[in-house]
Amino acid sequence: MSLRLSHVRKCFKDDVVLDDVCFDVPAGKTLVLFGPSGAGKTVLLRLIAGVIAPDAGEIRIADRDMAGVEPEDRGIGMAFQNFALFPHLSAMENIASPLTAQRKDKGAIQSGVQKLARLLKIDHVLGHKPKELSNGQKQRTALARALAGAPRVLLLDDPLRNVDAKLRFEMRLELPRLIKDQNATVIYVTQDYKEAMAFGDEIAVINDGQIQQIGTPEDIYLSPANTDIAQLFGDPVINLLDVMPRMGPAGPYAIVSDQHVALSDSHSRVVDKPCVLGLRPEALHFVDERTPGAIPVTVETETPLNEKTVTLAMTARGREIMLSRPAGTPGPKSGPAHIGINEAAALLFDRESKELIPPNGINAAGKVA
Amino acid sequence: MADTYFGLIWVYQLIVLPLILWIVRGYFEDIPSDIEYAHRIAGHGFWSTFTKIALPLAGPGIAAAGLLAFIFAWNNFIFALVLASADKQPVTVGALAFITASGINYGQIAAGIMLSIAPVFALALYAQRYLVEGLSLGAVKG
Repeated sequence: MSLRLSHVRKCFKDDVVLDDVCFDVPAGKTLVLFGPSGAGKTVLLRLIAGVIAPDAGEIRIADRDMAGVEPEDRGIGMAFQNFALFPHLSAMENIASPLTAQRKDKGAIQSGVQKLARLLKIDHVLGHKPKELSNGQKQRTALARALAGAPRVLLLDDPLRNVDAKLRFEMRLELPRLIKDQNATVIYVTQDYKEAMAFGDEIAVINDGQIQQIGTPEDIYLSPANTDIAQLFGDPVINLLDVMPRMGPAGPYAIVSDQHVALSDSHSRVVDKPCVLGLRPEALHFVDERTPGAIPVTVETETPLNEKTVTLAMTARGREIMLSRPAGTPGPKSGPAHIGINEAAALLFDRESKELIPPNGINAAGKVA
Repeated sequence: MADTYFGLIWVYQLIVLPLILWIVRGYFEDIPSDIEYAHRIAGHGFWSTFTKIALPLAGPGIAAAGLLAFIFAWNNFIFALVLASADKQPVTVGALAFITASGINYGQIAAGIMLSIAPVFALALYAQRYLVEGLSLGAVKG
């Protein structure tokens, strides 16, 4: 069932927590809501679930206006961040709750719960009360309860937040399959950009109660709407360098450590305006000092991560730059070195508004700038 | 209503009701709203959520309030003294009968007090496990 929000607004007293939120999730697709804590993600889920009402705007599920529709009549499943299991009921009764509400007979409830419990590997603890379950088991119980009623819309509020790293890794692999099997429309809330990239057909980046960008994971990574989003997505974090683009005979260029970095022709309209150059660590690589445009740096430290090696280097002007390269490839460990820039991957942002200046003249919202 | 135990009970309501409301309200408020929301979203109506989730979770608070209200009413003296007649006396007023013109019968007063303590004592022993359970409830992730 499709889910559509148009111009949704919510205030608590004088505090605007959500303003003009619009998005559209086609049936069976997953939208990831990504943003820092306090951005309004949980409030948005509660509005969709119907436990609080919006001050303005419209929420439509399967093209039906949800204003005045009680939460129990919306056909929604929700997993809460703090699990919100019923403490006086066993795991079995917790999971069965949506099925008893649908007045299924005992046998159907029993088999439905067993099936989900086996899938989530909690069938051996079904008789336990929530306080006798480990955090991981509680999380799976909460997830099973959300899935049990075969909801049309599934709301998952950061379900992996309160579980340990090992289980989070396992669930990150299992969850997308489980979600796909449900064939439900899913809103998945997270603060972890890797989860966002892994789960979302689309990602909505939300901050200060406003949707800042909606797009596929690739869109958001390759053309983030502003420097904040660029910094949130990617590990190690993007390098942001203050530059002032100049016009040269071959087109616009930026100066980084006395070396010219060529920019796209359409960047000529920001020549002589203060800008920020965004360089992903993987767009930088070590080169021979004779390479034209090579930037001299001093290598400070090197950090080997599992699949890549991250190097922190310092330019002659004292600007810190991070580089990443696949693990196992050679590179300097310390001392002077030179780096080259993959100019095609360079991003340019307006320094004042922090917004992306798109190379093709179309900004992230799809409007011609 | 006049000169019946039932009338007296109504007057006791007046003094114990604020006490009960104050205690029970706190227990209901302590139930994380997410638990009630979860039950609603699972497809249950408002009343079902109230009886299946809110009432059981506030149970220890209701038991505690009930016990306190009972002790409060049982120990009350002044309303009974003013409102009850000679043949409708609760134990607090009844004990006064042993203060007679010919002297104060301390022995009978002591015996009467022991008898009057007995039901409260028994109830407190029985209810204490609910009270203790009430104190340990309240972990959100529980």
